[in-house]
Amino acid sequence: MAFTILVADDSETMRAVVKKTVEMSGIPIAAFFQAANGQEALKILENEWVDVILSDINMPVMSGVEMLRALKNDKVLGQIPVIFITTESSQARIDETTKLGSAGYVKKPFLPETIKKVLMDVLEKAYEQRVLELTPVSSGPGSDEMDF
Amino acid sequence: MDEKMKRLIFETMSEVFETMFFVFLEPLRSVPADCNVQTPKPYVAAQVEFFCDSTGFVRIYFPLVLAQNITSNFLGVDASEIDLKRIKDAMGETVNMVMGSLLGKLDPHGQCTLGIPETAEIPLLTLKTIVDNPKTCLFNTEHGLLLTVFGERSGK
Repeated sequence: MAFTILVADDSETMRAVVKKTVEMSGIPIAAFFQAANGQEALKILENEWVDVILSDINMPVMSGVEMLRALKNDKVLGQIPVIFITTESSQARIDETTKLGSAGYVKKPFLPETIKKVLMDVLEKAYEQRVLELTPVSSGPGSDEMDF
Repeated sequence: MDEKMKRLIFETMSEVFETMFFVFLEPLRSVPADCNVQTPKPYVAAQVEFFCDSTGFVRIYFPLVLAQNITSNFLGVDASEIDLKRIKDAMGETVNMVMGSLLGKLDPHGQCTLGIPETAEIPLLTLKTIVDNPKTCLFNTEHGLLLTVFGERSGK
């Protein structure tokens, strides 16, 4: 199974570095979308489904936190896990994004292994969730249903 | 600037430069004797504002060759494939990481915020006035002097 990933960061260089880090991690990628701010990311999501969003916080036009709030207001898009990759490293800021429903947090400067670990954890959870949703509920032994 | 603050700046900058770019910094108390600060040299300046109880900025002056080297290491591509736009973008991200990491240590409650980084190429920069500023931290690198200046704009 390959994953689709969206990276939102106003730095083109940082987007390229994150893309390279993800590619080198061995995680299979079906598509990799890029946005320079939260608004561009939301625009992409109008037409594309992604498995995870890796986002900066401090961006012009629309910050990562504003983008997360907008996503959480949408029943469908609100399910997409958002991992923040950011210089904003105070515990208070981390707690704030966790409360808003972010799936993970990576502080810059980062080691490639850190991104790989957080991303794999989040994708694993998302994958398990998807399997659960697709698995039909069956009646097992001991079920109250009558077998005719 | 007191010694404690200077040490914190050095630790933070070393962490960013070593982790992200494999570049090692050596803190300096004064300009080395063999370095002529009157001769203009090509530099890239990157600055980011911070907003706390007071508003200030941190500005880093990168020797152009160091900036090229950092960008090349950061992206994992040959220096010949990098243009000035990409170098400025990478230096903006660098100053952002430095200030963000520093705030993480100085401001655990997250009261401060950062602006959007700005960058400029300075083809001929004379270092004299910058090194004379008491708020300048000097670092030696294999590609020349790196300077970090902290400035305060106004009170709240």
